[in-house]
Amino acid sequence: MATAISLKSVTKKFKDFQALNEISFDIQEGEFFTLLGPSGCGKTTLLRLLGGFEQTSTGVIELFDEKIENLPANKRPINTVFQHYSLFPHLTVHENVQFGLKMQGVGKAERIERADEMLALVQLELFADRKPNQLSGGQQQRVALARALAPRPKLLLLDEPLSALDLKLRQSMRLELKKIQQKTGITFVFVTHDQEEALTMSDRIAVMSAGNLQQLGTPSEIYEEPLNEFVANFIGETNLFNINVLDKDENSARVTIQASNEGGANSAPFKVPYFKRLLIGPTAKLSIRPERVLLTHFTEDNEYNLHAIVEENIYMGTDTQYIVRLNTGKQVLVRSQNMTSSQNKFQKGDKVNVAFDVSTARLLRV
Amino acid sequence: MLNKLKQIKEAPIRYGLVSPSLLMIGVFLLIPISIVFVYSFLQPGTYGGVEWTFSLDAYKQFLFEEDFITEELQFTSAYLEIFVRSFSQAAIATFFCFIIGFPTAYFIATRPIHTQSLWLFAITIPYWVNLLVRTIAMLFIIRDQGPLNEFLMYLNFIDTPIKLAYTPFAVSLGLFYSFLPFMVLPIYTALSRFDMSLLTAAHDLYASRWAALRHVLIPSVPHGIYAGCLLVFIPSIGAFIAPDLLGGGKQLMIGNLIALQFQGSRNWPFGAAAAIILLSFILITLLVFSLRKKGE
Repeated sequence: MATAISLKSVTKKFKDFQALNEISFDIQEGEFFTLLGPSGCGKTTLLRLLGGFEQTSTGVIELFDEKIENLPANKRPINTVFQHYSLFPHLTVHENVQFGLKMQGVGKAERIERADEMLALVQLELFADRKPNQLSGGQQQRVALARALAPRPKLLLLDEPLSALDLKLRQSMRLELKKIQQKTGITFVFVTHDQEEALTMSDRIAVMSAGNLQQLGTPSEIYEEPLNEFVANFIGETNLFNINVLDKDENSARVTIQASNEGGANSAPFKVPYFKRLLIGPTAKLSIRPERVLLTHFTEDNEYNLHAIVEENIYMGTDTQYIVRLNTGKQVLVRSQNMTSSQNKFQKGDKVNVAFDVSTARLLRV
Repeated sequence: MLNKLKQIKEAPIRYGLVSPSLLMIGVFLLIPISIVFVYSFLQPGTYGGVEWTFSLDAYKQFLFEEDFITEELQFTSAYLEIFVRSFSQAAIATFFCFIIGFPTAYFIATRPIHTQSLWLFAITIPYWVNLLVRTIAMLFIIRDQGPLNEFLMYLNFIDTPIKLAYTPFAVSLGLFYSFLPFMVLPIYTALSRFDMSLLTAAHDLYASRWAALRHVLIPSVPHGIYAGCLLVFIPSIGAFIAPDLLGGGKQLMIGNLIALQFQGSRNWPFGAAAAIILLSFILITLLVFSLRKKGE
């Protein structure tokens, strides 16, 4: 597989605001690639640099080994699905889809044929002669997609295209987008702040924050092996514990969870695997996902010396969410699946044992 | 039931509210036009005014000339030429107003919101000065010894002054200058409602700047352009100050012809007939335009 796009030390400065800081990564041909991050993290700026709507301050962007950072948008074989669709209101759906082809100088007969093909792909053949304002949001979304795909771009950029749709439509569009991407084989670069969207659709995700690339990986890598506190917090929910590293061997470290207030107690030492350089002492945090914390009835012989009082239990259908106060003083979020309806549930005020599988816990450097 | 009651109650209120405008249109538009219409079918009085005998002479005079000796009617194109000149001058003025006015409107519409009204204000400032004064000022600028010619000679672009004043060009320039804001304002209004991100989308879809202008921007604001062209074209046709002063009386337009009939020539019916002919021409043109637009 060839490299579709390659970013080399790309930076972008707006006056004295550093929007992007030395971004470098490659996107493979045919990949569904997602830029994920909170608003203001630079993901949209990066998309605009790829599209040619902004100029890089420094750095190189290569599209199939050709430098494109100085080409204007209309000279790049890259198309965009805009957040608010930006359909041309004076043209019909069919003419909208033809627009890019027309500007490329494609002949009328071929133009019509390819536009028909694209409208069939997004299942809007029956709406070809309507004007955009006669369509629903979801339909406009499809037209925008068909319009951007019609010129067969080497790269398709999608700027939070689902954010204006309601939840049900958004979920079905996710699957459809993925299907269309696989059918056309075009490389997609998708921008979103919605981590669920990113996890369900992407082949790989680049997590960004404050103009920096935080982590790049497959959805499961991002979720299971976050590199830092930001990624652990941003992707899904997590509990972060302050850790004291007592000693370490080749691939696991002996740690205790530190008391977070005066009345609290340290946990018993236990071993966790670590993946990056680790210093001895209170230098790390431990990330444990809520669904991987196990609550059991309180007993005296407690492996980690971790027990807690249930402060809140929230029934959520598929699972129950507990907020418990650990004996170290920290509040912990726990999610346990409701396997049976008659399952023992803990009530507010119950004393419980807290355990977790150390292999699912993740050590993060502070 | 309640709705019906409401409707019955609302009707008189509605008419009550629009009655001032209806009255204005009736008293100051329909009645004067009716008077002009009636006068055009009467005989001229010796010292101006009209004599109340029905006659088609005024309309005949427009196309035919009575031979002095044989009293036969002969076709004359003199007045038709004035008509054609008026239309072409108005068309030229409208064209240049569009060429200059559209970019101006685009410039204003793309400024930050709070400075837009300042720019619009700047556009209208010259129009606080009376049209007559502005036209004379224009004459002073373009005449042989005026600053424009002096400047061009100073730069050695030309050796002798270019004859600008009292030419058809001067009339076009005068009309253009008189009516430019009428082009800028409606186009600005249309452009300020235009979603500029559509230009980005066009650019993304391989449109050059020029193609984006032609295929996206201009087709998106047809009403503004149409209104601007009408607002320039119609008063340009009937204008009489610019042709009179800048054309030096040699470039008569319909406005001058009509003014002349009511002042010097004292042929009110002919003036009225010329006005009615102009009115009908414009109405027919507009009708054809709007019918064609509906056809699309």
